[in-house]
Formats: sequence, C-alpha cells, structure tokens
Amino acid sequence: MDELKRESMKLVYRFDFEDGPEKDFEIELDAESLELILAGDRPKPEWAKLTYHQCENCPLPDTEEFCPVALNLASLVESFQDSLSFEKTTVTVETKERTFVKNTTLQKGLSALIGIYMVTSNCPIMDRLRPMVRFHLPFATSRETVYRAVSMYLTAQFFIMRKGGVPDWDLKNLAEIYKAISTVNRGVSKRISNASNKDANVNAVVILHSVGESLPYVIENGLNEIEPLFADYIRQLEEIQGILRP
Amino acid sequence: MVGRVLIVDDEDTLRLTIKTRLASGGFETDAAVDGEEALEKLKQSRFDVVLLDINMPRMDGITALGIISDLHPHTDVIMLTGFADFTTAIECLKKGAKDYLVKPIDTTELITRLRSLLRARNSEAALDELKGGQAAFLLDKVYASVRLAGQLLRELKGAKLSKDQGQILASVSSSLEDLADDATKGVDPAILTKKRGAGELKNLPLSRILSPAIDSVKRTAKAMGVNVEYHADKQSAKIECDPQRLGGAFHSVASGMLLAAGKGASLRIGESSTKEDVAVEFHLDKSTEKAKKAADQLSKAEEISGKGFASFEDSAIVWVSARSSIRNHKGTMEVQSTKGSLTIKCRVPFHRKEH
Repeated sequence: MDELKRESMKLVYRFDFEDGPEKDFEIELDAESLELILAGDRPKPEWAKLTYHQCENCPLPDTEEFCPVALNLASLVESFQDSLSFEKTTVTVETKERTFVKNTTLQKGLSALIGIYMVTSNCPIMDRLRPMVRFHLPFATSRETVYRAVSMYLTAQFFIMRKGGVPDWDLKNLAEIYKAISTVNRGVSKRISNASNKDANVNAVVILHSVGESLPYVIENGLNEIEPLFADYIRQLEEIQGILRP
Repeated sequence: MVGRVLIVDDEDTLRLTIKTRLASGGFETDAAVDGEEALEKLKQSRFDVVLLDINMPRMDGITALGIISDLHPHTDVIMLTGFADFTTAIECLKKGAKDYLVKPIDTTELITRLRSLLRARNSEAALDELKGGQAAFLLDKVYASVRLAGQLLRELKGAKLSKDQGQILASVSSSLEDLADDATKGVDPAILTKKRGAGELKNLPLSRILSPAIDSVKRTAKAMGVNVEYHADKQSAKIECDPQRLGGAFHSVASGMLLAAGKGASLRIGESSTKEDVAVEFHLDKSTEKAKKAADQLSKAEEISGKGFASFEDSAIVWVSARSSIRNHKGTMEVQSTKGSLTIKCRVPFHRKEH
C-alpha cells in the first residue's frame, strides 16, 4: 500500500479529433489528499465567482470569493467552449499503471475528465466521492459507476465501524449524497452553460448528472440489477441458514 | 401504463437514466439515438410523447420536430437541450413543441410535467369526443332529416291547398329552416377535421350497420319519387366500429344524395368487401347542378370550413360530417361527380386498431 503515499498521482487525458488539433490535459493530484494540484497562473473568470449561479445547497461561506469546482474547471471549459457534444474523438487516458483508449464522443470523454476536476476541488459536497478518483475508471458505464460508488461507500462504512462509529449499511446516506451532488451538477451546468457557445461542456456535466440521478433509484430498488452477480455469496448464506434452522 | 414515451438523445447514459426513471413512474418507453431513428420508431408505433434532444448527429431535434408535427400531430413533443436559449425555445414552441426542458433534467420534475401533459391530452380528447358526437348527431340526424323534410314540403307547394293549409305549410317550412340553421350553428367545423376515437366499438356485419340507414332513406326517397336499390353482400363482412356513428355516416351520405337528386333519379347502394376492408358505393344516376357544387365544396372543405357552413350546399354539409365519422374509423370517402351523375365510395377497414 506504500505506493499510495509515495508520489503524486498523474493522469493524462488526450483528445484526438478527426479534423482538428490534439488537446492534452495533464492532471496532478496530491498523493494523500487527492486534491488537484493546479498551476500558478490559471484563469479566474467571472462565472467562477461563488455567488454566480451559486448552488442551492452550497455550504461555503460568503467569505469565499470563488467556487472551487468552477475554478478547477475554468481552463478546461475555455478549451471546449466552441465544441459540439457529439463530435467524434479518440480519447487516450494514461495513468501510471495503464493506458485506456476509446473512440467516443467529446461529451463522453469530457465527462470523465470533468468528473475528476469536480471531486478534487475541495467542494464539501463533491469531496464525498473523492476516494473514487484513486481508482478512476475512464468511460465507465452507469452500471460500473453505480458499482464503484456503492463499493466506495461500503468501504467508508467499514472504516467508520472500525473507528467506533455507526455504519450505514443500508446506503441511506449514499442516496442523500447523490441527491446533493445532483443539485451541484445543476448549478455547475448553469455556470458553464453561460461560459460556452456550444453544448460539449454542458452535456459532459449532464452525463455525470444522469448517473447521479439514477443512483438513488437503483439503491431504492435494492441494487436488484447486480444482485445476481453475488449468487454464490447468497447461496452460501442460504446453506448456513438451512443448517441452523431446526 | 401511464403513457408511451419515446426518448431521443444521442447519449446512452441519459437515455438509460430517463428510461429507468420513467419505467419506475409507470411509463412505457422506447429510445432512439437521433432524429432519423425517432421517425422510424414513430412509423412503427404510436407514442403519446417524444422527449427530443436538440443537438444530435444525422438529424437534429428541430428538424425532427418539424416532421413529427406534420406527420404525427397526435404525438406531443417536449424538447431537451443543454442550453437555456430562449430564441431556440420559442422556435421550438412555434414549431409545435409542447414544452422545453433544460438539461440536466430533474427526472422527478420531468415525470410531473409528463403526467400533467398526458392529463391535458386526455381531457382535450374527451372534450373533442363529446363535441364530435354532438356534431355527428346534429348533422347526421337533425340537419339531414330536417333538410329532407323541407324538400318534401316543397313538393307540396304545387298541390291544391286551402288557405289555412298553406299557412300551416309556410309556418312548418320556416320552422324547419330555423332548425336547420340552428343545427349547423351548434357545430364547430374544426371538430370535423380532427381525428378522434370512434366511440363504443362493436364487431358487427356491415349489413346490420347499414340497414337502419337504408330503411330510413328508402321511406324518404319513396315520398320524393326517387327509386332506391340496395345490393347487399350475401357474406356481409364483420367490421369493428361504433354502429351508431358509422350507420349515421351512411345515412348522411345517402341523405346528401337525395338532397342532390334530380327528377326521376335512381339511387343504387352496393356493398362489397376485400381482404382488408369493406366498401359501400352510393350511385345516383341523375343529379342536380347543386350536387356538383357540393362535391367541389367537399374536396375543399378543410380550407373553407373555418368560416362556418354558411356558403355550403346542404349535401356538402352532411357529407363533411359523414366523412369525418368514416375517417375516425380509419376509412376513406371519395366523391365523383360526372355528367349529371354522382358516385360516393366509402371504404372502412375491418379493424380500427392503431398499428
């Protein structure tokens, strides 16, 4: 586990377009806090101010001048402000361990990248998803994201239990976390909609929002969709219950 | 099932999320990746509402909206877009969209809007059904009968009548004129161009639907000196219809022909069937000039009925009503007027279910 602490975590997102220049984005995260390490000179546009379309549930005090999520996104949004969501692109994601490549739409590639910027920004609401960045899965499907979110949350409950707290094995708070995240996604999309001329940036957030919207209902349905994958565990439980039954 | 919704968006995550949420809200859903696929799906199946993204490859949402509004007027469209752009919103509403939602969509709000849209649709359809039934009654039953009665009274004008009898005849004729005027004033012509349900459906042989109309027309025709011949199909096919309304439509077609019949005319009514539909043909061998005018008016009825029925010939008024009822049974009605003769051919499919 030492490798988790040793050095900063780096990811490179590369967008290759059929007819246009390649665009690279290097992301460096603090190894321990997973906070985004930003370059010194970065844009601070008007739309990044905290009070500009501030999220309804924003817990930050008025003394903060800028929205941390918006500041993290400023350069990226500027790069794709004139791009269409369904533009075709080949996205390459390089991490220390492996390289991912996918022919996809710009909105899809961009949503994965925006997702990283949002949860590593120190926004108190988005921070709850930060552990997932360490195990980032580019181009994840809704189902994969649901599985990763539930796994992350249950791991957190394990640590809470070990520290003497009351774990939430029913995932009740996870649904609440995602409802709050949906509100943030709506606020962020309003900001970047005004900072863009075309729909690529906004639709990338819309994809993140869609996954967030579906998660409370997936939980409400008892994760029925993925339960069959755990048939072996359930069978084992039924066998034990059979032995114990008089 | 609350309603059928087609989700059109090029992004699979969004399609899946909306599909999952709408299904949990009791909606039946299908999805398409762009405007072209949406139009294909609409050809194959009927949807109550289409949720239509604007920016999509191949065919964008605004182009698709124009085509849907033209080809599927009974399907409502809600536009979805990543931009809160009011110019685009107004353009969409002008092109026939019922609503406009900015992404990211709150799916709970979406369900609320869909439910209220469907409630409004159902109320509107129920009101149209009521108005349509009233229009059919006023035109098929009241107007056609009153006009024929008026025609019969006119025949009496040449007869030798006492002064009192003449006054009674004039008074009754005048009352019938007023009644006919009131009957047409009670009908909004626009309702006759709307597609509606066909009322209470029954599966009956065509001859049973036709016979009350034939009996009634035969009685009137005899008094008018018009000969009526009816050729029934021995194996009269069964059709799914509202017998009152379809029977009323056939009565109106025949009544309109009697109103357009010349002296000594014969009216032939023939019944036949193919593998898909039944046909009833009405042929009048001697028709008046008014018949030709009425046939012309019928062909342009949708353009001129906005002004009411004031300029319409009696026959045209009852045929407009008949054609509306036949169309609501998914059928067709064609009128041909040539050299003093008149033919009306009505075709109605065996089943009126949507495909």
